[in-house]
Amino acid sequence: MKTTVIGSYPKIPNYPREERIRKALHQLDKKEITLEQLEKVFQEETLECMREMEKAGVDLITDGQLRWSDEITYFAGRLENVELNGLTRFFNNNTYYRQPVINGKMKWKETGILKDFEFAGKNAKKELKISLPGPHTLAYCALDKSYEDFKKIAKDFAKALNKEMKKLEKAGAKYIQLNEPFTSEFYPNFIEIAFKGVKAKRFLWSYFYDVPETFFDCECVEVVGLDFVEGKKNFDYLKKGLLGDRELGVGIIDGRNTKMETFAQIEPQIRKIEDYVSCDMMWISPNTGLDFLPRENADAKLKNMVEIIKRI
Amino acid sequence: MNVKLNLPLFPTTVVGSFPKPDYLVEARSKYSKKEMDENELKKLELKASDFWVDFQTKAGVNIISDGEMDRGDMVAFFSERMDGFKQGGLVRSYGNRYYRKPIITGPVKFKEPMTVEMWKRAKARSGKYVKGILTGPYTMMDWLFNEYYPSRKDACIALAEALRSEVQALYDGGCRLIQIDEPAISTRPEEIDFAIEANRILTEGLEAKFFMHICYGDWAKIYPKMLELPVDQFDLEFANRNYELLNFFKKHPFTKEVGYGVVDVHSHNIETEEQIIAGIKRGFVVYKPEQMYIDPDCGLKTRSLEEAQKKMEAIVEAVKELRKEY
Repeated sequence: MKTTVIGSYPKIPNYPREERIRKALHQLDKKEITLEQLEKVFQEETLECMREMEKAGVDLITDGQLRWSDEITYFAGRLENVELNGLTRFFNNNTYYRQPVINGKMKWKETGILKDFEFAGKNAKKELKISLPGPHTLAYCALDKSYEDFKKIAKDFAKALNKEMKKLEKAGAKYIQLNEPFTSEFYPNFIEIAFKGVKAKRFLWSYFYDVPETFFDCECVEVVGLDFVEGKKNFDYLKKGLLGDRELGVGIIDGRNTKMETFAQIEPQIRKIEDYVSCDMMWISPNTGLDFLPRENADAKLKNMVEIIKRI
Repeated sequence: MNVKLNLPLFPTTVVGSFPKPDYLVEARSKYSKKEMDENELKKLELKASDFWVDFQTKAGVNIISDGEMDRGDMVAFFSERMDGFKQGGLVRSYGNRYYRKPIITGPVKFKEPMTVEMWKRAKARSGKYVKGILTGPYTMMDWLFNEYYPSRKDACIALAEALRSEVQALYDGGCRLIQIDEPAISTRPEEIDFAIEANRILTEGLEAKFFMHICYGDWAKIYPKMLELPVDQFDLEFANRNYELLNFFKKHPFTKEVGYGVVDVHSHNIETEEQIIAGIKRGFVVYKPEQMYIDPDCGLKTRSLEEAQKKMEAIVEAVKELRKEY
């Protein structure tokens, strides 16, 4: 069994460590530092986060997405004809994102993701995965003032994602994940458009809920990631053999609660999954990004996860 | 249970919070750095509360609050004063905003009244109708980490049982107008049943008027089910989305009273009397005039002192004007 994470990592540690990103963003607001100085802080903190994930023993890490305000706008906000508007609750969380408003035909424009990957890729000591919002989730989270058709919106988001992924791949990205908390009925079309021609290892991961059966229709995907903390129905899909010969992302560590999992709690669930999927086809992970937790709890959860997996 | 009140048509009220004067903001900061003691802080909290009570009285608001001068975070205020919690680490809500999210570490237990003293003071000073206000059990559960109870429902019910004691304390102190703040209640529609059960624990058997304040909800998913919540009035926000919310309620009769939010608490813009009157009239597609209490969308604590005062004055003047038509 291998271990991974979903994408986000808590941006600041608690006392006595310094809240460098929080401080730097305040300073930027008051024009006390420049964007270059802010970027330096992001880079140093990214290194620190990646080291934490590596030291915890995670096999496939991310860069922690420290520059991201939320899961949506770092990508969606940069597209042509998209503006960011008011705060909206992010699914069933007590976190918010500025809602992207679609005012016209969307086209890919440069985001910071490639630049961030170039830095992280150079400095990661473990394999590095890039985590992006999926096209259905983007279409759901945005406010449409132009297309009047959910499918057309999802399609253009998928095309923009495809462009981003091709550039990332060219720069050396070997693992790319699309995150789809929004459970759409329109699989697999827009996932296929998004991943078209992408040769990196392709992950499709959902969380917060059960997925619909059509989630498994995405044949172009190599790893199907599910939320086994919240989505109890997801266990049933394995019985039906819907996974096929794909690998399984096992979101089994609760990324939204500080309570630590125990061996007694996790082991039977893994055994249950093992009835249908062999261990070497599993990626064990928290079920969500870790930005819902305090930093030290996230770190402890990852260490705990790796410990439990070693024992199994 | 609805209580008989002596109120005009379109009673004006508040959601609860007001902005803290500078001297209090400074004092809270000093207190947190242990540069000021509790008694000194308390004196300033009372001074600020008196200020807002006097303001609401002078402005002619029909049902007032104590201003919530001793409250910071609406969950931590209660969790810090009850047993079974510990302070958590910093968690990000959005952008560069962080808060300490408390953790349930053991059985949740009421210790002693938390809101009654301020309520009594406001009542004695003003002689007006004063709302008692507390955070509801579902929102407490949803906005806390839970390391003790086996399920969210168990945590919610336990919180309800503890908070019932606070409601009882307010009632025993003479309060008959009690508001439960439940901004999280529409977050997980699949949990609305135990949210109702939990709130029933708070309100059952008491001859008081219960209000429930819910802001920024996802109504499509829980309406009309939310009408089963055991309260007499829902206090909602309408102004901030240009009254679009009314569309959700057209599909089924709104069988309770409404606290009708007519000023946007996130905007610096002071609504005019004309705008407020027009906003109230838009509500007539869903509500009868007798169903409506008029107030701001939400608490005013994010506004400047001047903005908060001007917005409240605009509401009171607008309603005075509107009452002439009836």
